[in-house]
Amino acid sequence: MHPILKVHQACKSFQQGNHKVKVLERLDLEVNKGEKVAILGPSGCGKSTLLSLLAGLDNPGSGTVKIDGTDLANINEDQLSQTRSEKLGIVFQQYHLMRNLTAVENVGLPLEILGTADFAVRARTALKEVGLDHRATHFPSEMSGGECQRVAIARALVTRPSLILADEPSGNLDQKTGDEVMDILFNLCREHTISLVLVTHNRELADRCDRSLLLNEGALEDLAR
Amino acid sequence: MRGINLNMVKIHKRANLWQYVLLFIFITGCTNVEEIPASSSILRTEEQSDKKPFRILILGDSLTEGYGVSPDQAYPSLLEAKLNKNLLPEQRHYQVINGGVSGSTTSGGASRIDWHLKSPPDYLIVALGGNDGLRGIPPAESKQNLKSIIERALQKRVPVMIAGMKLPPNYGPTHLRDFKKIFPELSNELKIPLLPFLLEGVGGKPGMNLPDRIHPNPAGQRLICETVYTHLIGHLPNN
Amino acid sequence: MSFILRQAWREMRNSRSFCFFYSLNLALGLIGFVVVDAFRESIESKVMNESKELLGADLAIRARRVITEEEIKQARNTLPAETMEAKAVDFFSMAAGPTGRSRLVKVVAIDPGFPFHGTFKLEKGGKKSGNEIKLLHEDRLAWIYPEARAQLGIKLGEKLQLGEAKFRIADLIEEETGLTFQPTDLAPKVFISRRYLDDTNLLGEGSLAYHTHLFQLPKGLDSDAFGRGLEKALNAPEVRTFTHRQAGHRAGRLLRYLSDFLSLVSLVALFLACLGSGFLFHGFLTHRMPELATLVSLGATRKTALRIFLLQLFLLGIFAALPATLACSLLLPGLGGMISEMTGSKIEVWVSSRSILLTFAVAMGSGWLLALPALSKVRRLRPAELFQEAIRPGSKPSRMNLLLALPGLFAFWGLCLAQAHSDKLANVFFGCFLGSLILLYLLARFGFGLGEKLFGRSRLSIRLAARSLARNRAGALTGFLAIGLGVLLITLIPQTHHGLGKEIGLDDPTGDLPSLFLFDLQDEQLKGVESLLEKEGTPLGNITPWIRGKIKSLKGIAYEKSQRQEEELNNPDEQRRNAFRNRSFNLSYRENLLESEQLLAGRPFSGVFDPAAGRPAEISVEHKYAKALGLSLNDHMTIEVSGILIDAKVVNLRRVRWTSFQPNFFVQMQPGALEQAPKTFLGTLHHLNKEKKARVQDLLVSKFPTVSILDVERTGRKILDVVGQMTWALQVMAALSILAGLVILYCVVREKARSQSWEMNLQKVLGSTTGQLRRQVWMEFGILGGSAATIGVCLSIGTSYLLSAQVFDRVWSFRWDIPLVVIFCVVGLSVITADFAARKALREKPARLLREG
Repeated sequence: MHPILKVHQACKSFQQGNHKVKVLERLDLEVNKGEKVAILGPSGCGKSTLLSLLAGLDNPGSGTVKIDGTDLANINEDQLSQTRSEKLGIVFQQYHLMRNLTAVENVGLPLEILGTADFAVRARTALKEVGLDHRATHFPSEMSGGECQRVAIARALVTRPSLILADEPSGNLDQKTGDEVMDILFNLCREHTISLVLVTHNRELADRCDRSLLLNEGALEDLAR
Repeated sequence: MRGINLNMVKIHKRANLWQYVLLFIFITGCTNVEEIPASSSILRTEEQSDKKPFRILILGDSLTEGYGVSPDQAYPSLLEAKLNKNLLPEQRHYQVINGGVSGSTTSGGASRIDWHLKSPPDYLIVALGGNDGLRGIPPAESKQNLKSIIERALQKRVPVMIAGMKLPPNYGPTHLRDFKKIFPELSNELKIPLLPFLLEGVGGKPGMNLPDRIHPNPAGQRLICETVYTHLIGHLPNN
Repeated sequence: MSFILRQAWREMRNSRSFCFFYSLNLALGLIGFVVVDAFRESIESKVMNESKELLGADLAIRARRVITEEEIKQARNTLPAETMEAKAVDFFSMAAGPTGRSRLVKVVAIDPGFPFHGTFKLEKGGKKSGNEIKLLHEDRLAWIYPEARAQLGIKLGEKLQLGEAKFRIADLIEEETGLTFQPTDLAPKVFISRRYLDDTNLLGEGSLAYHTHLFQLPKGLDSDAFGRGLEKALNAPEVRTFTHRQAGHRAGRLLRYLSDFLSLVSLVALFLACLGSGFLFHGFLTHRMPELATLVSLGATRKTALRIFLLQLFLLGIFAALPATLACSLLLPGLGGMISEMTGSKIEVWVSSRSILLTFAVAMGSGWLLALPALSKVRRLRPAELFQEAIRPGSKPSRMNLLLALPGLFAFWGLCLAQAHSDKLANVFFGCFLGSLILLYLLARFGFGLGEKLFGRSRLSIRLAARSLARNRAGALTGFLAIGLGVLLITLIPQTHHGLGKEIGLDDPTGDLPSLFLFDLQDEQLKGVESLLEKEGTPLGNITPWIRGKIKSLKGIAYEKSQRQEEELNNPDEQRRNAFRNRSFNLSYRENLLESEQLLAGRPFSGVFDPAAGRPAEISVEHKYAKALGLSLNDHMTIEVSGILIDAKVVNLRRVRWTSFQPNFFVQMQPGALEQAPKTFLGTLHHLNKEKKARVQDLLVSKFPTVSILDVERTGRKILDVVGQMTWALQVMAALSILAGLVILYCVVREKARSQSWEMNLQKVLGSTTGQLRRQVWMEFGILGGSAATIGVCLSIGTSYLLSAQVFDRVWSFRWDIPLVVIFCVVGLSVITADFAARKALREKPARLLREG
């Protein structure tokens, strides 16, 4: 069984003035099916860059990123989009919900994009899973932060992806709400055997994952328990 | 010059146009009228009354038509009223036909006379020539046309009186002299009565004319009526 | 204050690309305005010069009598002290050559200095302006039209008898300007100095002469205003006041149309510029609101925040207006030259200071006025909302916004009035614009919701597009309004141009101008004249019978009764016209339409009139004459022709292209009814060169002295020149306004697409393929552009109709091709621009969604 996510020797650097800043250097990462991996690191260590690579939103300077065996460098833009919508779910710190769509519409959007016929029903189910059935027709502006993030989680899960990339999902939320949101995310991933890459700087959250990695000087190190 | 500018009429604002282009005034002519059925439902002569009136036709131009004044202020209308009021109305009813059309020259009038003579009037006053003079047509030509008009009427035994015209001095002494003498000459040659000057006391008088200085105003028209009346009554045939 | 400046500057510096984008878009819109406005001003000043040349002065008073010293004093009192004066007297007279042959001439006696505008072009002396004419005033000399030579049998240097004086022919006039109150002249002109006029002794008591006092105002003064003052001061009805613009001028109506049309064009350009900048500023506001909230949350007062914001608008306006006016000032003269060369119509284009001022006013003012509704947002701004990340602060609309939009609307109205020459035009235009705005708004509000329901089950791209339009209502609405109004403005000009073009005959502006007009031909002369001219090789064309008729009754009501009573008309001019209307009009008969005519309503004649059938005779009436008489289709009219009454029925209304110079009359009757009526004929002679013309005139005068001859070539040519220039101006302006409009629409679409890049990126992250996204964008902007353009075109047709009814004497005709092309262009432009912007947005790494903040 091949890993769901395999990153091999990925490098990434940015030009900043006259300097070349290396963000990622020969980074390796493997995530197996159903595995939950936390990535820790101080601010500015390149977590967002790493996530961009994993989501196929950015290319590594060198090295490969494979999702479910597909090398993201070998496929074109449209196939990449296809892969993303089928295999990946993303949860942002800022939720990034469509302002003008209701909760259920936001959740159904990926399915609509995939061309799924029963998107409305499945979106409703996904919303129920995050406990927001009663908020289905509300707009993001009418919901609290926790609720918005739950909608975003439902949106990420609705396509039953193989891998969820979560970027500090509770970062904008208070402790209690954050915990609730994370419980939902963890539970749903376990329930549907979905792999999770969780970027955070919260050790407690990281501890709930199968494995914790520290992003340090462009590479990942295993953190001992 | 309404006719002249038939096209340019549209390019102008009306007010301006009328201000400037009224110098010349026409009566148009035609010869054969026999074909028009008088009884036709759409073509009919204007006045049909039980008692046969004494019909006086004034063949003229804009002065006669009453350019710039309302129809009942033009001298033919005034003349009709005056005749009927002063000359034993119980014996004879006078009808004055306004045969004046703006822009008319003698040339148009020469052929138009036949149209009118189809049902001959009882008396004809020829008041044409002004436009010829203003337009610089050689007086001899105008005289020839007037002569032809009068002769045709006389042939139909219609008594005729000719009204004289004068030109403003800016046309030059020679032209003025040649023009003025047509009327007494015709009167002499054809043995018809002469009304020496239709615009006596009116021509050149600002108070008697519209601002264009050519066309008489209502007061001017009343004075013309007096002039015509005075000269006419002596020549009207008895019953 | 320094904080405000610093902060405003810092914010702009930090969002350089954003500000650059706005300034660029705004500058593009402003360039459109400046170009159109510059062309308008150039054309207008060119036309103004031309019309000044026709009068020969800025102002004139004219009467058919001597203008008294008292009246001249009254006139002078209303005019500035530095005003120059000259007198001219013109009248008809019989002049005689050395052989004693005499002909009618028009004598024009002028003062030194005449004409103030324009020149004489003399055969020997060349071009001479009023100041350069010296010799003529120093002796008994005369300048004559070349044709007078043959007619009078006179040569250069020989003497011409005018009244009691003799004048030596010093030169021949090829072209002259000034005192052009009439479209044609019955006789050749003879110019002499007014100094020697008395020697002729022609102007005694009872003379018919026009006396004209010409005034030349100091430079830069408005002759119209002084003209009105002058008119008021002189209360003699027979003394008429003329400004060069108004009045007796041969192409008066055309020039009035042109002036109104150009006003319209500049209004359109102005509105397009405002629309573009308004839309852009709207985007700017929406963009800036969260930042403003942040600023307030950091402890700045609302006032400070507001000032920073207004300062930014101001600076952006300057950044846009500066390069726009600079570029235009540098490039326009060259462009004008190029266009002049291409079209052969001489024109100098420059950017006036007024144009520049207006540009800056629009660039800066429109931002502020549009910002007013947003001010309420700033007031209600709750910075606390910032902490609930999902909420965009200050996005709630309010009814107050509508109220606060009022100053902006009033300002636009004011601009309209300032920019148009006629208040009526400005008001109709503004009214139509406002009405269209409201209509578009309502349609969009309800239309988009309906569209979402309608396309709820369609293909993904359509479904998403419809939803995006419906849900992103504020954005879609402004886009829809901007495109709809833009299209309205764009098509308004060509549509109006088309109507005007049809009316004045732009299709064939050079026409077949006759050399001579013959009229007063009698029935029995016609054959002789025809054969004489045939022999000369110049056959008489357009032979048209000419009958005088009087209106007896209209629609069964005696005409006199339908007229207003004399007492009601206090103005002598009006009285005269009313009295005239009681009377005669010209009519003719023929079976078919001429090529210079167009049937507007009704049917052609049914053939030859049958007197036995008992039906009324059929007539065709020129549409504006019909309007003046209150006649419509199928109305009856009784016409008296020399004592015979003819019952006639209007079977059609037609348009006559008068500039075709084909003889025509207001009323045409079907053949068969008027053949026997008293009539004369008129006809035209074409293609005569100078010698031939003189020869034919001479021949006709000697053989048929009663036939009147009119030389229409000289004046007709000038009219056609004006028409030709109008054609050019109308076409250039129509093309320019379309171009400017499309540029502005491009800016609008680009801005709208840009504002959606965030959503597009998010969708991409969610797995939409580029193809899907692009299709969705095509659909969305296609629907938006298509619906807005279609409605805009309809509104434009309505507006142009209203304008034509109110301003352009009902000169209107529908043109279907331009609307279609515009709709097509706008849809294409929307889709392509949006696609371009979408691709640009998609190329940008969606990764920015991952970055914090």
